[in-house]
Amino acid sequence: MTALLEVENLTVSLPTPGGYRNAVDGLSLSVAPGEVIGIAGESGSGKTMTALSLFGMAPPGARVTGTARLDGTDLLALRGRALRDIRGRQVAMVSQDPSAALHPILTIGTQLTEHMRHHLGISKADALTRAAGLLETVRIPDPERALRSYPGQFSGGMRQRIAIAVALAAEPRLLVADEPTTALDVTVQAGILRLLDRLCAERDMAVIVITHDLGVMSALARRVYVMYAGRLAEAGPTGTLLTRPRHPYTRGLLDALPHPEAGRAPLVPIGGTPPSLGAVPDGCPFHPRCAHAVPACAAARPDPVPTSGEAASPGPDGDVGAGNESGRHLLACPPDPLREVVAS
Amino acid sequence: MTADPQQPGTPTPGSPPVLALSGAAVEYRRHGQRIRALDGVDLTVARGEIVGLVGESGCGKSTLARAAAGLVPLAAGTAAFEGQPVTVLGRGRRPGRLRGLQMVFQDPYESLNPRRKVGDLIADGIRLAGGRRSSARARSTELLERVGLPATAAEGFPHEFSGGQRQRIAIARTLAAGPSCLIADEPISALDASAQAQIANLLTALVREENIGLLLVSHDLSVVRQVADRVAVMYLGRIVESGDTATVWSNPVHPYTEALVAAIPRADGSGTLPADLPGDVPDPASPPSGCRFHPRCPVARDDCPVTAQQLVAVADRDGAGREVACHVRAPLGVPALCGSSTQTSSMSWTVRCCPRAPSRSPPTAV
Repeated sequence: MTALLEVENLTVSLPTPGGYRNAVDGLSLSVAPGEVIGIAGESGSGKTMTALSLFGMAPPGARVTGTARLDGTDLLALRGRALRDIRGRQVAMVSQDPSAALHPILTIGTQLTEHMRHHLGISKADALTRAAGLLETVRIPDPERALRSYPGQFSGGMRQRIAIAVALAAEPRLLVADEPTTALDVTVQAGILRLLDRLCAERDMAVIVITHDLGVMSALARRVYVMYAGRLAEAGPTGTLLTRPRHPYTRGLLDALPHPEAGRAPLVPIGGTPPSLGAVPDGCPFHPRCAHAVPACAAARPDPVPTSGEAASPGPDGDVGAGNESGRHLLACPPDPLREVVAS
Repeated sequence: MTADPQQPGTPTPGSPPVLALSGAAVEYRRHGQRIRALDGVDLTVARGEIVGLVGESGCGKSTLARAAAGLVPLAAGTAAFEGQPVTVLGRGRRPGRLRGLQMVFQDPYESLNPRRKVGDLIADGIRLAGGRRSSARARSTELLERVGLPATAAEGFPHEFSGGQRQRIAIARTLAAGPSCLIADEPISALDASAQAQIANLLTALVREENIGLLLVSHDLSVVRQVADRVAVMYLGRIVESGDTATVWSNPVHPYTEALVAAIPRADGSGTLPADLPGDVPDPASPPSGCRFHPRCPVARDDCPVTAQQLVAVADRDGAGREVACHVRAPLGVPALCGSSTQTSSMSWTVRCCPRAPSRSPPTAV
């Protein structure tokens, strides 16, 4: 399986009063056609900045370095016309807030057909027929009427489904979904998760889902990248990562979740708060909050390396690793304190 | 009903509820049309008890919270705090007897005045509660420490704090009034995962230690499951199921509750997609006839669109009280669930709040 998108050493530096600081620091990831990968982490971990930089939408003044190759084309090097031709056509984005993604005083029909006509060069009538089909795909009742309606006439869940339809209109090969269901009810969320899963399989579309909700991650993603303070903390197949995490931060994220078997035991939050952009600690950025920290943790920034003994622990889905580079379990925590726990 | 008798702060059976809604209804006007956002809801919260209120957006759970706090007027029914009616907030000063009823809002970025120091924000609450200006600063430091913030936080402005810390400040401000009941409308939805756990734990600790009643409104079912003693599930302005949180979760009776529980994605790494509940919450301006859930219900029968549903008491395995408004799953007048005899009742879970000691708590209309 060859990767559709290959991001290498992505670094996004933002200007702060104290000089440039890395919001994303040397991130590498890949996603194959028909595959869903997830990026997890708390706010400020660089998840959203990663997504924005892929679309040339990093904030003004940001310095973006590294490469992000989509079929050999470096997205980070594109400007102007070339960038516009890729956006929407090859890569599309769904953001957390559907009201911000939809124009309030243009009809749904206009918003759905606009870039369909631009990218695919089809007639208005054809575009409207396709748009109605798309709305049916995302299960908007009475698509013909919906095309003549405005975003304000729909509920939040329906607007998010419409925003997904707009993102899908020009049949992109890569969809980046940034917290697509965070603002929604669980019932609507379940519908959207099933929709994304189906579209991914039917259209061979690659999806990067960005969320702090590990339940959503578990349902949708095959592989998960856990970010902390702009750096990759741990990456690997979802099953392995959620059942046998090796990074204390991943463990902490899981422990903070309400657990069905835990009964009424108090939740176990991670102590402290994530560092702000200007005050990322030296060494491992997580060490001040880490229960397993040793003096060496404050000395050097750990890079993600393949975990030892990963071949002995295939995930429940069986195809983990599968001899391919992207399926490996990467860990940026040299002391590896959870290794014994995992092994026992 | 609810909490484990061993737990401190467990409501004493028979103690009067600190907050009680009875037949509460709220109407809004839209384009001259009357919309009933809340339709005849009974709900009680006792001291030391956490009552979770869940449902999809648009089901009226925030309206219920606001009505209980006196922020919106009731079109019918009553809301009572410590036995006294909750009067609607107007231009005048709020009566002193309502001071113990406080609200925590969803967004700590909007509920704190950005131009005032944290210590002053909390001191305001203390002075309004009758405290002295001179001792207010010392007391506000105490309250900050109570919610897990350093005393130095009093000198900071709200923007210097993270979302979780701001929500702590907002909670400290409500504590300044010495509340006996808190109403929290989505208090953790705007926060990060780890901050959510911290705030949920803080609220639970306050309820138990200070013996405060808490009405926790949230669309995040997992958190409600973790912290609430009792849970009420709302659909389109009505409560469709209520009872002990753990048993409602493990054994939902109403098909809507069942769908809600099945829709929660589980972080178990199994790659299982959560079950879908098709359709959206209908427009409350024209609610479906009969059982309001019937258009989306997987077990609906021919008579569901014509039969109005009422809450029926059913017995749980462990004897905890449960009420369900579904004549398919919990038929009126038929012994339900585990074969134990159940009485039927058309309203008021208040009655059933105390199943352990029914003789001591005669049903009282609130």
